[in-house]
Amino acid sequence: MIEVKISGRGGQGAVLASQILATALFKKGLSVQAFPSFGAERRGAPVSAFMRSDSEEITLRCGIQHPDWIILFDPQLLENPLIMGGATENTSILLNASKDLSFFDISGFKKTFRVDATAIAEGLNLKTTSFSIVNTAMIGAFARASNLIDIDAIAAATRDLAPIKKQENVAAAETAYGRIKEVLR
Amino acid sequence: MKKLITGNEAAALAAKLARPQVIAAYPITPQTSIGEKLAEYTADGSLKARYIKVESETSAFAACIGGSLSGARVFTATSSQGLALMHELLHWASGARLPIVLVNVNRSMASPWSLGVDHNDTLSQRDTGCLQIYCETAQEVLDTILIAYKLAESVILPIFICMDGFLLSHYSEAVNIPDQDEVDLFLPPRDAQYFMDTNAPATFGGGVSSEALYQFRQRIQADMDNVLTEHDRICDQFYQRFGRRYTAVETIKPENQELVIITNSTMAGTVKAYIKEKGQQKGVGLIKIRFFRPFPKEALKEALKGFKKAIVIDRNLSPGSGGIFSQEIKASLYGSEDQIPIVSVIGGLGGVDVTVDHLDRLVCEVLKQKKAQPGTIWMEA
Repeated sequence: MIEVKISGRGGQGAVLASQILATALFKKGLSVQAFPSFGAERRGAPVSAFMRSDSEEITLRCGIQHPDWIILFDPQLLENPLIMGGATENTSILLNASKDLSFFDISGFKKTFRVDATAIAEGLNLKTTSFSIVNTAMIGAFARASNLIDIDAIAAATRDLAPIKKQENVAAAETAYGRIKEVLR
Repeated sequence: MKKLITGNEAAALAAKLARPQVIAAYPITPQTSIGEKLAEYTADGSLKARYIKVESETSAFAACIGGSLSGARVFTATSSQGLALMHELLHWASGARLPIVLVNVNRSMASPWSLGVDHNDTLSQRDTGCLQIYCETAQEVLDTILIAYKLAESVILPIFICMDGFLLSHYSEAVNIPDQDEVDLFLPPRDAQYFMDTNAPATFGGGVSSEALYQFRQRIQADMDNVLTEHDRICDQFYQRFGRRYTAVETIKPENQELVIITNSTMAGTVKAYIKEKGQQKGVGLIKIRFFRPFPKEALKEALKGFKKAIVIDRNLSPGSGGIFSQEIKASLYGSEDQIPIVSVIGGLGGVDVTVDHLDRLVCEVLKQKKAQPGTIWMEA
């Protein structure tokens, strides 16, 4: 079983990202669950969405305590214990970050990847008045980092689920797939 | 067709497939998206129903009573305080013998306010005369709603389909969606024996003598006694058409039957994962109770055969007494010859997580004890 936690700010599209990922894996014949963090969500507050997938039927019904992957739409969330509390040395992380990561402690994870999803999203005009919409870029990058799924499946699921700007969202996923970098310690 | 949808989407789709003629619902988290989806279906014409907009849950259920009295098939959905607000009308509907189908997305009762799941909302309606079925998966929600219409209209009583808030309502998962043609064959339109008809005026729910009321109550009990047999018959038909089988009680019996965990709803899913991962080799089995009203006493006794000990995990609390399922189970076994020790456990109130590790620590503790601990154990939170 693979367990993924996707964290961002309320309004950035973490929930949709979990659904795109789940849909892509579901279409490959895997058993999946995608679900949001539970509570009264507010725009701008830290929020999480989750995704489980397995080759066998998943009957588990509880939160993800120790994710295999944490995807952060905002690198500041690295410092939020509510978001990072369940991370272990078996957790890999994918960050939306431009080059400079020296402010953050990224030791202690299995692997660390980064992609400048904000630049990709803004280049494609994927933004609202408050946020850049980085969810589709981050999922495209995740496909490469995790090796769980091919980019074509992510692109197809994005086309299905993106409520607007389908073409731009697919382009964001594909561009991020090409630009992701592993951060070596 | 298999699709990835949430529990709430499964509930709305099932309601649509059942072709209700009247829908009335008032939004409350975590039920809201069921009402929204059905509003969408009626607005785009894919569901030909009268969607009555209301200003409260009391009005929603009152509208359902009116619709049902006129002979229509009706649907509503709510959660928590919303269900509590319907309370007096729930008694009224069962007394008037109205087969209203209500989906309740379980959520804890205020105060304090929480959005998390427990079953105190529906279990507080225990004595209203409404049937209650608890579901584990989105597939089970969809299928049970179709079965529920057939059952409610056959025994002429209201029914709740209960599903855990968030853990089921907001999980996206794979669901097999049946074709409308197949559903139409399984569930033909409601054929009400008694209904309001201006050409044949009659009084519904009027004043009666004490003796008449007494007889009405006896009839409800007699019909309740017939529900589980009728449910089995309908589930056979459902299985033949759709290939999925449902029973009042679902059992997993390991080879070496040391201990059984008895629980309901999504908690049963986590118990299944635990059994697969760790419980099987310890001789741990599962009894998942789907029906709460009527309570499936005989099926429970049958399922318990062979087990040496039982743990009942209640996601509810009757303050001053303990777990409500635990009480029902102990009462069901009163006087039976092969009674086994029963450990009563409360867990997961307000949506607190119950994980495989929690279950394993609980099972290890209980297997160590020579005698069942009296009173109630609280699971770690």
